[in-house]
Amino acid sequence: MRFIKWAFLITIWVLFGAFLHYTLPQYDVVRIVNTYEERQELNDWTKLFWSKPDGQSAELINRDVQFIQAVRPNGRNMVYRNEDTGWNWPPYFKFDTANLYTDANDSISTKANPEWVAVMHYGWRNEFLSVFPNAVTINPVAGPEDKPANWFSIIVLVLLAALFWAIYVRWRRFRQARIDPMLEEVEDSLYAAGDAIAERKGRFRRWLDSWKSK
Amino acid sequence: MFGFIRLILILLAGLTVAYGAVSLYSREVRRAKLKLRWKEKGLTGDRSAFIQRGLKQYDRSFRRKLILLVYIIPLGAIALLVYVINFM
Repeated sequence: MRFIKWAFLITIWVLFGAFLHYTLPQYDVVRIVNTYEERQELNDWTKLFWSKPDGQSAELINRDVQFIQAVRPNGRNMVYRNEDTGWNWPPYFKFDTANLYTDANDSISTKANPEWVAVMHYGWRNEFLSVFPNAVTINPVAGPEDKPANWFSIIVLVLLAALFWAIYVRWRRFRQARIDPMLEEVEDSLYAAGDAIAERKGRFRRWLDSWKSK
Repeated sequence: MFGFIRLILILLAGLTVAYGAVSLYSREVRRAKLKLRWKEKGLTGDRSAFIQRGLKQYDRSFRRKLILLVYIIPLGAIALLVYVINFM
């Protein structure tokens, strides 16, 4: 029972953490090397990792998506998709996909003469599922070390922690004040009932014994 | 446009529930305070008239209008986000 409880709690928290990690913004300092556009098949469950444009009909199973190819300071690559979030989840309210594509193309630089930019993005890169993080804003930075502080995520996480702590404290107080005494009462009356039964039994036995010849 | 209308309708419905709940709660808190003041000061006379007068003052107060922040803060945050993400 204890094991099931812990497994359940850990699963819930891991899922919640994954959800936050996918949804909250993160910054990468990268050098943009190219942009391209590719038709994507969006006919299976992985379409949940792609945006839902407002004009897209429910039957549409493929469409063109813009991508931004980048290289990180450590030499490893990163590919972002560039899609509107519109008024849907996650609430980035990004409508300037075409503008961002222009900025990305404007920031293309070579290895010999690098121009570093900070890409704010959300989402994951997964090669097996062909999932890409969505680039939200691109800003020039001084160099590969000049990573902007992620204030938005810090504030959201602190507020969430405060909210959960407030709920937890109130729940614990409620349990101590209302539920624990009730359980104790139930326990007490169970013991009392047990004692009463034992006493009854004792009396019955004594009565039976009284018929026995001595 | 459909996405916008859906978001606004859901948001307004949720915020209206929150606004109603906070309004009722705040008015009850004020009523409890008035009752307490009546008891502590040992006032005599028409108790319900005293409480009604206090609540009427509360209805006209600036404090009650602050509950409108329930609407202003989320809608303002969305407007700010739209500006920051797309036009800055």
